[in-house]
Amino acid sequence: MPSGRALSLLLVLALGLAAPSCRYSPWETDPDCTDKPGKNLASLALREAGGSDVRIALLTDSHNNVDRLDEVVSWINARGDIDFVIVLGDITNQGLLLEYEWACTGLRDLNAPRFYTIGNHDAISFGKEVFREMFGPYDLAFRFRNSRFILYNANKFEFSGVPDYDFIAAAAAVAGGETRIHTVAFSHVPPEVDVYTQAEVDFEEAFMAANGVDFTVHGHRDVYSLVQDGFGTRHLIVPSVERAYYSVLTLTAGDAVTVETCQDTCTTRASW
Amino acid sequence: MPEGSAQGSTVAANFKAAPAATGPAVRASATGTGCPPRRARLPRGAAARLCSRDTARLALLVWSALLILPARALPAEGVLGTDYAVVQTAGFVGFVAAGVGWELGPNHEINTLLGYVPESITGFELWQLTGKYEYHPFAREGFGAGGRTKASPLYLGFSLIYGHSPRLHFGDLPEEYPNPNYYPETAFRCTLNVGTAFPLGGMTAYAEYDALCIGVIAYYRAPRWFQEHYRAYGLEGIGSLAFGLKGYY
Repeated sequence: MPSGRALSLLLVLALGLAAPSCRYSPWETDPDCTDKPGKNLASLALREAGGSDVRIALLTDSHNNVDRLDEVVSWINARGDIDFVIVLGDITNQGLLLEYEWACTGLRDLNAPRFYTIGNHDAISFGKEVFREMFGPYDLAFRFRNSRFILYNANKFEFSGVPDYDFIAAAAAVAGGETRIHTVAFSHVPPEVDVYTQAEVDFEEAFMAANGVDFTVHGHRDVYSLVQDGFGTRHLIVPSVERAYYSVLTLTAGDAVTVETCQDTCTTRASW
Repeated sequence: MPEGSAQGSTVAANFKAAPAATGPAVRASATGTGCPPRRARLPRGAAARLCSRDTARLALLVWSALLILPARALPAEGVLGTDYAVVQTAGFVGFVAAGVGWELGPNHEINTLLGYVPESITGFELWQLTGKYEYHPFAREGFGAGGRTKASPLYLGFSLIYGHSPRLHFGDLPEEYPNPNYYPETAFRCTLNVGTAFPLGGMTAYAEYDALCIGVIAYYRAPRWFQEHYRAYGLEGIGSLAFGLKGYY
């Protein structure tokens, strides 16, 4: 059957030319796409002198919804006024490399610099390793326009010894002579009873207040909420990309904060 | 609250003593808890580059052929009534996977493969067990010299892959989770396969494209996104090539 054999060889050739990548396991950890902090911080530094307010786009819980993510990315790029983007985790369902690749590929379409916190779904399977290879450390802090931004890992079921309160305390501390307007902490899981115990919630609320954290921002719950704890610290939960939402946080040099939830247009949800 | 308490005492001492953030605007630290340190490995992307070279593919096939030779020495009936021995590389079943298969009539086959993924590729040594079903609607046998071979210009298949690792969950979740259904199983993955098989030196060689089931679902929901971001109509983003050899008894 020479025609059958010729067809086979043709198909092999077509497969080889069209899709030249081989993957050896669903649980591989070596990413093709990376988006680590170094390049994004360098890009952010170039924006330092571009204004006094800080406008941050918040994305969370895309869970493999690449079409929704693409839509949100196009809305954010169309605005042109976002200083940087914080991705609050759960970009995957199973922590698999392919899922991470889709999210990374989609998020790299953003024009603004991007920083990432790991979500609980991202940390299962071998997702911890993929995250570290693709996006860098689980905890990150940086300063921009006299405000301090602290991204921390709070996935207590998937990691032991988190949050790293020593890291947060050091990152939140104000240096002698430093001008600080806002100190904001971001994690995927909010400090609520579920992943946290009540005692852990109480501790974290006291800790954030004692270390001068103005407010915290989280994902995980999919819907918007804003609560103020007994120490006066606000805890903001933003709606998910899965529901076709992103949020915008505007911090002014005059110490004011505005929260908007957005689709193709934005609605102001809170300001203080 | 053992974690919180332990940290609490440490942190309480650091409420005032923590060093101020000075120097560079950026501080970063990795909280690597729960992750064993990675050992020596190939440079990033090296495995993918290796795979993309046709000469390397040929070398892998030759290597696979060498691995299958002992299987050809098995009795004609095969062990456990098996009809063929099989080796495969890539397609999510392992860097190399070997096993046996059964013919279920002229058009249907099943086989099982034990796959090995070295830490130089994934950062972890991993063993996988795969069960495959193949439907060969155009199969014809009896080609080539020196062995029973099969030509199957186009076949379809399905694989179920089990990854053996304490990091992968099958059955009950660890007790810290509030309910046993907090996450779905992570130890099993499936692929949908399309391939072609042809006689090669007394054996049957095959090449497949295998798509992860979660990828098929994602592609179904957003085909245009995949087509815009990956080659081969977006199929590059959800699957892998695979190459293998079968030795029919």
